[in-house]
Amino acid sequence: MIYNSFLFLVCFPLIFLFYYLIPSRYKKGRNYFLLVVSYILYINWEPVYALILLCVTGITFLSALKIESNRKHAKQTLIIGVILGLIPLLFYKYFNFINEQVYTLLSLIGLRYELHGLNWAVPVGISFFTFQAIGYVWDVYYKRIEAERDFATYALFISFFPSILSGPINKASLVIPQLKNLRPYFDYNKAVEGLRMILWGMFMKVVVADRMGLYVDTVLSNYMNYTGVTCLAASVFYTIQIYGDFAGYSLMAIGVGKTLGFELTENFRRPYFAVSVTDFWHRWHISLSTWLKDYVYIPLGGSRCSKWRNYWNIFVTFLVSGIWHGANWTFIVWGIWHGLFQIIEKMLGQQKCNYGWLGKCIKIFTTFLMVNFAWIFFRMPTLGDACGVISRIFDTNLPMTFFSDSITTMFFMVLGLMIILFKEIIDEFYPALMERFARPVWLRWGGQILILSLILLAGVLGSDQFIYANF
Amino acid sequence: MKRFVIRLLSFLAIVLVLDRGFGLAMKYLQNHAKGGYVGHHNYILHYANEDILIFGSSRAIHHYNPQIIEDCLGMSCYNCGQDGNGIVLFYGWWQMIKERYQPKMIIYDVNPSFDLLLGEDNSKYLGWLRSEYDNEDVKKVIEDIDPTEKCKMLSMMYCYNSKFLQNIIDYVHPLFKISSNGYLPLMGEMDKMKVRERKEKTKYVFDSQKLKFLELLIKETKERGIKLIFVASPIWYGKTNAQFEPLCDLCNKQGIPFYNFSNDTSYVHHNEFFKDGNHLNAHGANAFTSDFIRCIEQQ
Repeated sequence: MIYNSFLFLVCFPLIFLFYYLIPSRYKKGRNYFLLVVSYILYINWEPVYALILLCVTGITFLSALKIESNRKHAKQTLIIGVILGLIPLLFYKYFNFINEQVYTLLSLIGLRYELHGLNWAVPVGISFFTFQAIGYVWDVYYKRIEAERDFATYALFISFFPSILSGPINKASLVIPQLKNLRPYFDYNKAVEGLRMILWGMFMKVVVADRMGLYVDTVLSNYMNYTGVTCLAASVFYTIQIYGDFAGYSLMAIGVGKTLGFELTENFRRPYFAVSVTDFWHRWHISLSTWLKDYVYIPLGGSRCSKWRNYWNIFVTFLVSGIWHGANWTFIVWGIWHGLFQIIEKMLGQQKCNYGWLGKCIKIFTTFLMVNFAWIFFRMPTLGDACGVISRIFDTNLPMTFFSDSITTMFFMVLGLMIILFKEIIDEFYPALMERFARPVWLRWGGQILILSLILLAGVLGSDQFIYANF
Repeated sequence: MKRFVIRLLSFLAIVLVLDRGFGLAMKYLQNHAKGGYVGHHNYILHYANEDILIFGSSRAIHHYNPQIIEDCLGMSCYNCGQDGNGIVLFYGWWQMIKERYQPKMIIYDVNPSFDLLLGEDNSKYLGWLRSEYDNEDVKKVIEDIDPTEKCKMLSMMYCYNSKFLQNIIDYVHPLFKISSNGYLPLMGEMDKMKVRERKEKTKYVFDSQKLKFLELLIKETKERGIKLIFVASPIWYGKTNAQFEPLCDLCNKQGIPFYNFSNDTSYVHHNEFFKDGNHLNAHGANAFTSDFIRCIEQQ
């Protein structure tokens, strides 16, 4: 369910109402209700894809049970379970890409045998629920958790509607205990915090990200028609757009979870205040970077190995991250870019900031630029287009003029940006101030009413899409 | 839970009161706009009484000089063009205009992206219509595009979504004055930065909803004896006829004239007539308006 859609506005209050109408003594009944709701909402996208979700759930559920019951052959079961769990993802997401690359390679030696590409849409959230399910099997293998014996509980963990579309990729150790018994009937503070998160997430999405998106789409879709300054501005706006879009979604997902009494994994921690690319990945899409650390980086040897082996492990981890984001060379280059910068930072000992405030500001700025240029590869459809945008930015022959959209669009962009920047600065550097702001009811409510009003007045409410929903 | 529900309802009640207050203030500002796009919108819906009305996107507002049309045809003319809009908005506006008076002629500048081709979402054309939701016919158009608008329109702030700043500016100090006949000429030379040869598609997907509104506009103007003329004004790049196919079929069937200047060699790639790849400058607009009027006169 897309959170900025009308469907959400209608469905969520109903889900909330019916969920809390089930008396607390029927804990299982509440889980069954959420399971049914999650599947209905998933079926709403494309009914047949619910079978894939069910299939991945079934495979990983049985694999985990088998691993636990037969430790002797646990490794074989793990490998089979992971491969089977990954098949739908590989098939739907990467078939066309692999097919095209193989065809191109074979063409070079004169073999021209082409398989037809798939015209099927990729099942929504497949990258997220597949990684969540595989992570669970791995955790059982590593004895971090016990295998879940109740299929309904496990199925709800995988299909839980707030996070199935775009994460966070939750750990079984966090969610399954909450599903089983460790959540109260109704937690007032949690519910209020959840609503606040939904409100702020919605603001980030519709007021900031989607407004920036109007400018970004205009410029980057026809970048050849714009100056380098405009292309640079569009790339910076895209950097803000993707943050507002994805962090906004994650906040809403976590907020919805909280209103229902659940704690989900934190996914963003003001990433553009990172002092290095390494630090950036401790703040950006935290649930994915944790997953990659736990199930790719550490199994490869992590940092407890030789220096060069460690660099290789970082490189491979971010190559996987790039591939996970999409079947396109642009994502692979984006992943490699991030991996290489982290290796360089490690070589130079620049992962943290040991300088004063000026040094910190410089490091934040340079990290922002590094990340910003990487996003160009992420945004553009081909490597040629990405290089085209970058070469325009550095083309000194072009005039230094800036394309400014209508005055209202520019005003809303600046307004949204200022508000988000103000909150992020306070959260990052003056957290105590935020607590003081939040104490008087009139100030708290005033702020929330202002945000809601801005959503209604300045939000781009026609766009029911999230960038990360494509992954 | 009780405390949560009470607080939530109190919060929503405050928002509701503010929403109504804001809506009323916006309505006042809109109705008293001194100029700009809001003033233009008010004039078209509530005061226009010209013999000829020109409908269309920015390519209409910048391409047709009503003064030339008035001088040649001896009829009064107003340019109703609106940036980034097409048949969805103009069919809605037409619903309000026809209640008030009957023009003699409507010139419709067709832009395939806004009037014929399937785009992402037609609700983006509803911006200027939402504030007129009280009108039953406009309401039907809005709900036809998106049935959920019925619920969304409960919020008056939503009615002015993305428009409130424009309302304030056009009430306090409009940044530009649209001339008394609606025309907004583009001054200056061709900005070569903004043109690039485009690869035209070979296959187009058309929007049945847009075509339905075009058909309704043809039907309603025909019933009232209003002369409707479709025009595709010049474009620097030139355009393939394939993009206009369903409109050509409609016009042939209904006996409506359609003048296509989009591939006219006296304009295509002639930098002196253009401001950018899509828009004529004032010099180009004057030349085109004269050429177009000659075509009408010859008929």
